[in-house]
Amino acid sequence: MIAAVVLAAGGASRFGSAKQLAELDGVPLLEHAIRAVQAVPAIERIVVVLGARADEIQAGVDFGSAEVVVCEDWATGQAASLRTGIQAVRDGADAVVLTLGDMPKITPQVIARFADLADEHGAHTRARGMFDGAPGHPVALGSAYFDDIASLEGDIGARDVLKRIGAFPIECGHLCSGIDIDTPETLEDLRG
Amino acid sequence: MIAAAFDYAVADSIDDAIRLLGEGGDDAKLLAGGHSLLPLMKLRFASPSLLVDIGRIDGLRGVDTGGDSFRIGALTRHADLQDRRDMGLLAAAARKIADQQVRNRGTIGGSLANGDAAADLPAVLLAYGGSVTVRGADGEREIAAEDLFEGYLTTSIAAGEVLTEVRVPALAGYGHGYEKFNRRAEDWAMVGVSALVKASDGVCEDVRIGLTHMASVPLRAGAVEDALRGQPLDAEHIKAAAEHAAEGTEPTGDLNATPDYKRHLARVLCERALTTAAAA
Repeated sequence: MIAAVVLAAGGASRFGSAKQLAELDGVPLLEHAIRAVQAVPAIERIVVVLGARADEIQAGVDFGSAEVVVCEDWATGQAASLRTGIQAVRDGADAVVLTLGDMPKITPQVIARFADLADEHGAHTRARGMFDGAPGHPVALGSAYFDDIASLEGDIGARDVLKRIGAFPIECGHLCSGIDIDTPETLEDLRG
Repeated sequence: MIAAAFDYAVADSIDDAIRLLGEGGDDAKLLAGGHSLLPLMKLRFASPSLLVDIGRIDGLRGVDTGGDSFRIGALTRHADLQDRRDMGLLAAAARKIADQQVRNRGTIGGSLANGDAAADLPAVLLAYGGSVTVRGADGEREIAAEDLFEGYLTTSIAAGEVLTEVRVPALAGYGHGYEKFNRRAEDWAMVGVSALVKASDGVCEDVRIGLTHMASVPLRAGAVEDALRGQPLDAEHIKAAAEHAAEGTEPTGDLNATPDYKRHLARVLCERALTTAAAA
């Protein structure tokens, strides 16, 4: 079974408010990210990891078929929400596709490429998205690497694990924008 | 179209099939799943005088997983293989054969014995460096994949021989990728690429690539293999190596694609299949 984890626990310190709820084309940013994952048939289960302002976000976003898990220690860094997400899906998932809640322009086609890789290689999947040569998301990881994620700490994200296990870079920059919304200005540019 | 008239006989054993084939002469053909031969008969590209149905012979269906290879009974259906995650490339290709109805009936032995360069499994067998076992009146022999496919819909299996088993090496530690391009799911491939890659510390230790429909027979993409073997297995080297995918090929044009377009597809699909293989 292929699962997806949408990481959306951050405190959006540079944004200044709950950016997960900031609207683009009349839809909250996080909902854009969830909809893209939901449009991929190969993904059977979707978990959204919330942390900061979890109640407010849960009230303001239509999660559809996606499940919500709340990472209580989100403030310690991205490793905590990664651990929470993997913990939620590891029982039953052969591989997981990781996406970010603040990448509203990601397309189902790009996520599907990673879901297909996960479907093909199962427990041994190791791939990460690149945008014009810079590492980003989606990331696809097989269950053989779940323990590596579970042992992460602090604000390092999965980067070190991905490097150590030799996750293969898959360029996606020609397929969609990998822009992540960190500031109100970035969002304003996108609306423009 | 409707097929030309033919006689029909049911074999209840391999020996029985060999006897019936012998009696039927050169125009007798074996019928297994019927999903390669019958379409050709309906198009009147084939008009055998006798069909010997081997579909009910016991013991020719299933996979033996022993040691470092898989032994696959000739009557094993594509549907039997498509979810075998332990069988890597072969399962990946089986999943992409036509549609589920075809996969439920079509057999691995039938697909290989038909020797169609546009079918999925011939190039897969070639990439593996696998073999088939055939049995005739004079006994049994093994034919290596590189000696099996001789020309357009022509194999080195003699008229009186029955393909009984397919062998492919397990190739533990290899990543795999299978890519094909076609107009509709049930169409034959315009072009297909099968890739098997073994990496060690980020270096390509071994690579095997099969090309579907790039000539009248399935081909190995030797120039790509030579360009990648021993090199770092990264996006840049994969792209550079895949540029060689059309070298030594002789694709024919058809309604769907010109030879140039097929050469283009071979390069693109080769890069994709290698990338998929590298992500395991």
